[in-house]
Amino acid sequence: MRSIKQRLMFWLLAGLAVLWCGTGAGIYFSVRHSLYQSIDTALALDARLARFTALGDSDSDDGTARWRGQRLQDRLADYHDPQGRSFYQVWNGQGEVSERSESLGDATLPKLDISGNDPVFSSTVLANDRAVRLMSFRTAAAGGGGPKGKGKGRHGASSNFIALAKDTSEIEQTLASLLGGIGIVGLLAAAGTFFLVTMTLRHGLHPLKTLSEQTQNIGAPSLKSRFDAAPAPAELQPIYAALNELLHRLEQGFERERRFSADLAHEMRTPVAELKMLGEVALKWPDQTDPELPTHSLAIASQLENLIEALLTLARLESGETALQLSTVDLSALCHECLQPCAEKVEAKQLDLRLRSEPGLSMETDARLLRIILSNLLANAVEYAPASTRIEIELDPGSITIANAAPELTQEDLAHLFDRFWRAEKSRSNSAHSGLGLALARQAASAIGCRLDASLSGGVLSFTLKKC
Amino acid sequence: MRILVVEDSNRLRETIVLALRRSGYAVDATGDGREGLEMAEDHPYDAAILDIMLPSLDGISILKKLRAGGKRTPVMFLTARDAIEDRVAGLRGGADDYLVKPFALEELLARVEALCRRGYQKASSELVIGDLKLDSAAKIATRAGIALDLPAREFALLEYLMLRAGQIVTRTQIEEHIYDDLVSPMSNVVDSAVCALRKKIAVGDDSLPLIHTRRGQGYVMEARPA
Repeated sequence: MRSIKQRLMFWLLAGLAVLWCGTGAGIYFSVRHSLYQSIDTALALDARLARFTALGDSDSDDGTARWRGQRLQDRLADYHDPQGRSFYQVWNGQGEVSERSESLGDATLPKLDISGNDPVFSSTVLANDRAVRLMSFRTAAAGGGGPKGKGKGRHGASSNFIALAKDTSEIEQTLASLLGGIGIVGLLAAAGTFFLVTMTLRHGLHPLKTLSEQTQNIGAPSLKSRFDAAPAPAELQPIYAALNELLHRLEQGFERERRFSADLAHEMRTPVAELKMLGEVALKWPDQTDPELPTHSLAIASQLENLIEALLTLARLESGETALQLSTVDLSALCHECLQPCAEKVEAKQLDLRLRSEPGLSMETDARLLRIILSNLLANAVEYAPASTRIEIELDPGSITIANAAPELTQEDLAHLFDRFWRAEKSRSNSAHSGLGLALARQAASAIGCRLDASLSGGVLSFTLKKC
Repeated sequence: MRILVVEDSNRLRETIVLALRRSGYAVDATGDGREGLEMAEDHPYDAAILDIMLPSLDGISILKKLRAGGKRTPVMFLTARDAIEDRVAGLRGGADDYLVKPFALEELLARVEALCRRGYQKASSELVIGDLKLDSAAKIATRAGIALDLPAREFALLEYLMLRAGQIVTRTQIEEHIYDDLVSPMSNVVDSAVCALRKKIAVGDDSLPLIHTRRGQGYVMEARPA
């Protein structure tokens, strides 16, 4: 069940069915109980009345008693009515049927085997398919019989067994219609629930529909737009917030990519423009060709080559295609090796290089990638450290730190340090650097399972490479 | 014509400067934004070529400050950014032209020429005084149908004088527009250049003198009835 509607419908209907069955059963049985209780009370009253009439009948000719007796006779008349719905049957001490209602016809009331003097109530179905409520009891030895009519004679000393019964078909009918009512109400409730759930869901899920419509309208050019969460219900607020957050991240990602493309175009166009200008100037004034032309052309070609190389490496690292070739790398030897290409600049800027390391400290890693990281970090430090300052390289087991003075760098710059083509100075005053070095170093670091972070404190920029 | 070039890529700047100088312009150049702004404020350049991304001060800011300071120097942006919003930002900022790298040398030269003309309210590249004709685009000058053989600087001097035909042009103005910082001009440099030019444009004995000296003031170029 994928749809909320189906799920909700299933559980609501199942729950409603259980509840309604329970309630219906409760109502049914309590009504049934009280109906039978009332019939039992009537039977018991009749039994007592019968005994009383017997007394009035035999004892006196007193007018009051007669009158009373007459009233009682009327009440008990149903027992003698051939069409009546009340029945009696009396068994004498010998167990023979001594008296019985005419209305019983061929049927007989069952003689229950009861031991005590308390009456016993039970329900039974007679031979003529009549459902009855039965009260069975014994009379005291001296007492009279059942609800007898006039001229009722006396019996022997032994106790009689009497069964009084009342037809229960009316009750059963009432109960049946009650049951039917409960069923119909239940079905109506189910239908109503179905309708209500459908309507409520349609209404309640409308915000989701709105959301999906809004989502459909979002594309790469509309990432700046945000969902208006204000009209959405509280339950959807987290979704709206999450979607807006997602849009924000996407927008940033797209913006970064867009900037990267623009920067890449910029980085490529400048050397191409240089090359083109050199060529065109040489062609326009062929007799005044600059003897430096081949040197310049070569330098531009190398610069482009470096840029393309860096871009390819970065792309490979970002796609995670690089397979690691692990080996034991002597860290301080690698540092010296990476410093080689900057040696002239170190000399020219009179930089104070301090390498602090335990002797023979090594690392199990991919030498090629670690070289990319270290050479970029060191070249960066040498390039941007002010003249006559110190560059500190600390090699520790598990971490490498390279620190140099960076008096003009701000905390704000720190966030962009690893962006492709980002430079503290928004221009390419030194075209020897592609502006990809730090981005490359960070990607290479994550490829060898390390983290490369930058921190700035007291005008000193530190890069820390750590195993993560 | 004196041009300012502010471009931080050394090689590109040097090549542009070389090309402009060979085309007869006086050129000053720098790779730094702030220095570029100072130079533009100090000299009445006929045109300025600015890169947008520059160290210390970007091209658009330089332009804004120049315009805020009342300088009407025609400015062309030179940049590798070609997004429409970049161009719009440049032009809205008061630039007169926009050239995206990489560009063709001829296009650069043609646009610079157009920029320089704009400063003198001339729409055509052809200047005429009497029987002296000068085409600044084709770099051809003729007198009475006879082609004049002028080196780049003399051509530039003639062009400048012709652009300001009828006006008094001082020696200082000639220095400022024809000579860049590389030449340290003495007043007699201007005088001897004008003298040489006079000889060159006098193609026949009957040629009218076109460059007249106003003592203590400078020169006026005009065709006076004989």
